[in-house]
Amino acid sequence: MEKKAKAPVRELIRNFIIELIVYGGLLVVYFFVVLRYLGEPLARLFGDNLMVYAFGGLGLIVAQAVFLEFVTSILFDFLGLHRLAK
Amino acid sequence: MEFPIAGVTVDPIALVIIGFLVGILGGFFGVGGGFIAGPFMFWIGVPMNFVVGTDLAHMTGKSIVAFKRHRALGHVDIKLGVVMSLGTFAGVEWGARVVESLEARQSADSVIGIVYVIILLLVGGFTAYESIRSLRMIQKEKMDVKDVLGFQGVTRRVHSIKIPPMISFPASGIESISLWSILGVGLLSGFLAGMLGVGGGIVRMPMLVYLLGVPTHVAVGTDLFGIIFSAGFGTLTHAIKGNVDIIMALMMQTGAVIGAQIGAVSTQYFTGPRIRLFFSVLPFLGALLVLIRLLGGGAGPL
Repeated sequence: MEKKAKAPVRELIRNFIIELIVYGGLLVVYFFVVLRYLGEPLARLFGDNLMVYAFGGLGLIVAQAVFLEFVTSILFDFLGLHRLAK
Repeated sequence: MEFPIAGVTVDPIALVIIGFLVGILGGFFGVGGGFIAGPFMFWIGVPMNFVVGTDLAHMTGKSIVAFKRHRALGHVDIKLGVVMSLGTFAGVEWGARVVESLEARQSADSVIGIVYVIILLLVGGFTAYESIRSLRMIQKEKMDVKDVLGFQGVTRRVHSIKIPPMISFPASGIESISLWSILGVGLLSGFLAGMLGVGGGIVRMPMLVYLLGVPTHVAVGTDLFGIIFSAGFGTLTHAIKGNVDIIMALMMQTGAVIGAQIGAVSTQYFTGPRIRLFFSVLPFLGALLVLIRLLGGGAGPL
């Protein structure tokens, strides 16, 4: 690793740990929501219509990726991780 | 916790951890990481027919996140990614047909396994040799550069092909290159991906660097862009066959998102040769996992 980068890297790691803790809390809430509202309907769809399940599933994956990226970006800004970007 | 779609009980925390670890690899190296996630998923109790499809589903989402982060850092050449994807899709189809013909002769598992190990060892060995050579060059000649290639012969040869149409890729620093060279690299990486049943990042990233001369950071981001489409397409085909547990994939993705961000941001703190040196460990690890499977010590997917 480049010597110049050592100081920001230390700050980066510290902020990532804070981000992990905050994100972990959000995950616990998220797990309960997903399991309660999505598990059963998706399992039913899997048994009834695989084509709709496939496209719906891909849509959910993409939507979750965009949403979580949005959440983590807010955390990035909040913790000042974006300022460490060169 | 019970997953009704796959019909198994699996620890969701283990899924999140696997997603997180593979997410870091994806964000940092631009690989899907299926060759590592697959055996781990199987190990924690995911049925074999759900391993590949579910992994591809989580890979799609993870690649979107890592791609967005790399794009913000200016590490993605979308034009190159789109052109190369055309060759990749044709290559995947070609590779899948070769697998079909091998299966008809009942020699698919052993032939694919051996080819996979040889290719991974070659990729890992060459990448390690070249990156160490580059790091020595930087040290010896006191160069203050972000990226340097210790082995440019192949790149020069690919660039010397002047079959029209010639196109430029400013984001990758390529002034002029034959369209056929790009399609050829896409076709070859797609063929290997289709034949070996993996996302292809583990061979495409080194190909972008060594054959096309794309800077390592841009190769990582551009490769992720390609994985979004190949993994997305793979998710659909596997899901239609009933081999994807979306709930599992969504859970893995929660870990992968944060891992991918960490991996992507971390690339800024390493030079191209050092990223390639770290990357060279992955093919060796992949080869080891396949060897264990071939020798009967495990049953993970290729």
